[in-house]
Amino acid sequence: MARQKPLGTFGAVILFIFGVAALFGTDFNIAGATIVPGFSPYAPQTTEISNKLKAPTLDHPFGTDDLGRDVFSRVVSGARAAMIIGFAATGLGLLAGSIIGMVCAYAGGRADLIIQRVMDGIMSLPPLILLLVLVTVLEPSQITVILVLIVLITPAASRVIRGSTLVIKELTYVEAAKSSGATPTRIMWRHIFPNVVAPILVLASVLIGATITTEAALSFLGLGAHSAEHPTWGFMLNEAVVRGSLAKLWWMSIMPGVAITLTVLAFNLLGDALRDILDPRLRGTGAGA
Amino acid sequence: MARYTLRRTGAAIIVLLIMSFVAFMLINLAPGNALLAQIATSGSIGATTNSEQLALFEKELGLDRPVLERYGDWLWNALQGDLGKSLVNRDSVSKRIGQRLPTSIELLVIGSIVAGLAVPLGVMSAVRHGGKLDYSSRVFAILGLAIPNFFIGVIVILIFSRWFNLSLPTVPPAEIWEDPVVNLQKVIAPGLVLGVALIATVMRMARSSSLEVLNEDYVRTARAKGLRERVIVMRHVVRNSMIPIITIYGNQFAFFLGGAVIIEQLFLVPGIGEMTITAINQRDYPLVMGATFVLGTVVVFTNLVVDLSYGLIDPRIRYG
Repeated sequence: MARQKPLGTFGAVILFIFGVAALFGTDFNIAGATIVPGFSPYAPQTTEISNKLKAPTLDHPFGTDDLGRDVFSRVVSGARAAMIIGFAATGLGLLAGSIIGMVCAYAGGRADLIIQRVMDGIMSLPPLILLLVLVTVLEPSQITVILVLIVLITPAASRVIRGSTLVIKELTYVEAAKSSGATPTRIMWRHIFPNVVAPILVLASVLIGATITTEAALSFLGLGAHSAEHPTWGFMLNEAVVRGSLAKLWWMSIMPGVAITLTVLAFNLLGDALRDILDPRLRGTGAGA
Repeated sequence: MARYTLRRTGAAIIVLLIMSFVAFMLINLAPGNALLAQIATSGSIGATTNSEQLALFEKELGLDRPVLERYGDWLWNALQGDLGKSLVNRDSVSKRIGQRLPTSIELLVIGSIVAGLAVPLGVMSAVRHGGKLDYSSRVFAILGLAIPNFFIGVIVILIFSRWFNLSLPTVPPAEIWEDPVVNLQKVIAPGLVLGVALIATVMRMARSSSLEVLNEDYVRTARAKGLRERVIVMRHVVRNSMIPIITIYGNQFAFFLGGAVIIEQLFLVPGIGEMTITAINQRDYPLVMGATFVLGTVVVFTNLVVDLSYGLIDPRIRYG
């Protein structure tokens, strides 16, 4: 496996590292009490003014920012924020998109037509502008950002799943199920859904990377899911641009930027490998990128 | 062709209508109404607003009427080129957008030209399939797809200020027809960054579609009759691999525009993106609605042009 897909394996290893950082890097707090202490040396929001703007040292491997906060601990904490948003938004968006796509394709008719035109309308808006508008009218927070990303993912996902369902619903085994009296719900769940799992998984790997980049872009514009205790990589970049001197304090911008890039890279590589394994027809075409 | 153009244009207009309706509803039906946000940010009235004054403001802004009626009005005025007035300074929204749009278009044009340079790179990579150039350009593409454009921008600024001691030109904005040098100074760097961010996508597409064409029978025929490789590539491969490349450009255009918004913000370019973000921060809903509509129109229009260009590039394509 690892020998056949070296790049996919590389992606998986990077994701494992970021996954560990996301899970165990920062303290797990439930109702104010620390359940599992994190391994990162400082809390992401702890300021130490006497130690501000230090270049990377052994104490602070990624340096400190303008408030004396440890950049390493903040990058580690950002991993959790990125993963939560990436997985939650992609997962829920794909769920909504799959249901809408399957039901639309299976039902057909006027409902399908109307829903598809609404999806067209959403998709013809420039995604970033749509996000900016939605986040602002709803007040930025982690939940809001996840919700608006779902709005963005759902139409695209529904389009893909609808296409796959249209093909599958004409197949003989669906006809057989119909003639033996299966309800539409049963047909969709037992016969159609298992056959669209592969495109859903491939779509997921592409979308998670895109979702993380998009959230980073929002945070970079200061409208993302960040807060004092939960900095995001995009917002750290924003702080570096707005408050720091980019040239002198390179570690403030490079570290979170590299973290975003590596995560997205890893998801893309894993997704490519996954697509080759799950969908041989697409092998080597670079589709979906 | 004429019938197809007409039908496709009609479809684009319907998409525009739906898009404007979706945008209007999202902006106007969201919790926390525009009026309260406006009062809170303008500070023109103290914290204690009496209901009489509120009603007066509501009437003045037309917010007391049903939302569908307001959309109808907005659409009627928009069709006549009037996108309303800014809540912040009562400027005409159409005029503000008109001032900002040319700079953004310059940015998009520079970016597109840079991204277009990826086409020969992708074709070369396909022709030398498996070679050193192919390998390195694929590694570059995989990396390029992962780097967000604003991080590229940050790196560019960082490198230039750290090692070349250059900073962003802090010149006053000027239109390109007034002072081309000053104007280009402002947009050239962000335009380059915007284009570089798209290179990876375009290159990948150019490579895979050229690879496909290279396996076609007519390429084998061309080789068999002894044409030089250069001629084969120029005349047979490039021309036939243009359709998917142009399609991907159309598909990517909305994201490209989103990228321009961020890059404008980072490089302080006075374009429509920077204006939109300011408007969003000030809760200037008419301006946000106008900008969203104009940007959406640009996307729909670009995709229309892309669709119509197929027939020009590939004479085999005939529309029924």
